[in-house]
Amino acid sequence: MRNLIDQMFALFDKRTESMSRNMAHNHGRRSFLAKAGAAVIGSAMLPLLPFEQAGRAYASEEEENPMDPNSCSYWRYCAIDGNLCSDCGGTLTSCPPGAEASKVSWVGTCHNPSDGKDYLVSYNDCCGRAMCNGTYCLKSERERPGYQMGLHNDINWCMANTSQGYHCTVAVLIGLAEGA
Amino acid sequence: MSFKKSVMYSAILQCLVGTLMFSSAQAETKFVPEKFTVEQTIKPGPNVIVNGASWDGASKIHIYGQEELNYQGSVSAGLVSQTLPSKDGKQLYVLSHYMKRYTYGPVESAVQIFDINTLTEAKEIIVPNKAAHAIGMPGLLERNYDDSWIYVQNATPATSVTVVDKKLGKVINEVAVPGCFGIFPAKDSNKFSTLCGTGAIKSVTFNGNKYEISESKSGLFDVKKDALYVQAIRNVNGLLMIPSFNGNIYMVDDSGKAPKLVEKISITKGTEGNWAPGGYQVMSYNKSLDMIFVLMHPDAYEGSHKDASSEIWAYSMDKKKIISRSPAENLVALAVSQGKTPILFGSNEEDETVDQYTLADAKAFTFTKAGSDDKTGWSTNLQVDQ
Repeated sequence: MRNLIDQMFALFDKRTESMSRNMAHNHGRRSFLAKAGAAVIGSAMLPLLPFEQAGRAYASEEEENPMDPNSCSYWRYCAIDGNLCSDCGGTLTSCPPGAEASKVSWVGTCHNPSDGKDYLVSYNDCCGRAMCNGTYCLKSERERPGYQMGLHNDINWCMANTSQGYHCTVAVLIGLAEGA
Repeated sequence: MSFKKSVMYSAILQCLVGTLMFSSAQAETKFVPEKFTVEQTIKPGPNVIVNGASWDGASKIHIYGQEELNYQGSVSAGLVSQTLPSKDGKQLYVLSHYMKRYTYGPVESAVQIFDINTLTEAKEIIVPNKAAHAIGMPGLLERNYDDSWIYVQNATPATSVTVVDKKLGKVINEVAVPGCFGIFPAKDSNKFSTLCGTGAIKSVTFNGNKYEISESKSGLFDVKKDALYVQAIRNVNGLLMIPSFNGNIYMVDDSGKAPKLVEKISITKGTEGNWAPGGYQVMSYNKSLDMIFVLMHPDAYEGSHKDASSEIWAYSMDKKKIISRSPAENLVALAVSQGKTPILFGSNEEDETVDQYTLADAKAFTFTKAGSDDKTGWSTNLQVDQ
């Protein structure tokens, strides 16, 4: 059985390729963004996203504790790149009040040491506020460049929102990885 | 001389001295205001350009002289800038994004063209707000072979490339390349190649406003086991050199209809310590030496592909061997000057500086840190203008 990520890529590529052909003949005729956003939202995955900035804290500088959500070594942060929303007025899975949830996101596959299973983690950005100076975490296990966009964490995943300013990042469990 | 004359001369002399002293005092008290001016140009010579891209305010692009690492000045841009010097090194292209309310509201994306000598804006071209809001890195803002077109990588997150005509000052095309990322222009035509998630490389050729896409065999590279960085540099023979996470250089010929893998060169073969490249701009190339310089870290693992450097490796593409390994801590981006005596420049992630490395031992071809400046802040890419 194909795993969730493969399904997501298949859907994403199919939709975008079809739209791209249309665009080739009439570029700028319509919003590529709205369609692409719909394709991703239409799948089971919600948004993802992160980036980098100055004033960052590094996982390597902290005490390793894979079960502490306040630590960059927390197991579900294996491919995170952003400021923790839980340190910015939100929670592990929710944006701070007033911020806007990103419409698209990137996905990591992280190992939970407490049950030995691998989980799909959607890293969603929260948008429309200035960047929060909360704890900054960067880890890139199985992260890949933009040619595998759904695994890419060096881009602003508020890109499909009306409000595109990056604020912070959450880590939402969205499924078990294949074979988990 | 009589006594009277002597007294008279003395009086005249005293009078003259007094007059001079009075005039001198007058001169000392006369205030001459300074002129408030603007330096018209930067100092001549080659420069290194450091992209201080910002996620929450104006991006700052810093210009330094290569030899002395002297600060020449800066240009300002919107959010998450990408930078690229023109082919002749006289202009600087900057892509960035301007949000009307800084963090929300309508977004205007622009390619601004600055004259490097005066650090003033020469032209501004509005592009669709599809351009990737990405960390500063190679391959997202490029130019065609004769510098008449500028290519902008889009991500919405669907990927495409906006084509800008520099002379007309407007967008002339958009090329949809779904599932692909990075722009690697050809050296003698408007063609460009791009990396794709299937492990293939695609080439886009133009015929007027129409374009055609040709594709290499899928599986040219393994996305899971040996992913490629979105960075490709043409060597002296026109082949693309593309570094991989595991320290292989993929030599790709994209001169024909479909790109082909010519050779895969491991720069770590025979080296102990599980070394691998790391960073955001991991490689730079000196044409006159046919030599690549690569940011390397030991004890590599899945997910360490952005880890900062411990060493810079100089690798001869001609001799296919490591020429030298120079200690260089915490660099995530690298640029090398051209000429037989290169100077290396790096973005230091830990200190948030630009660091300069010069030849310490010409025979061993090793480099040591010779300069550093912290005005850049945190950056992930930088370029030399010649």
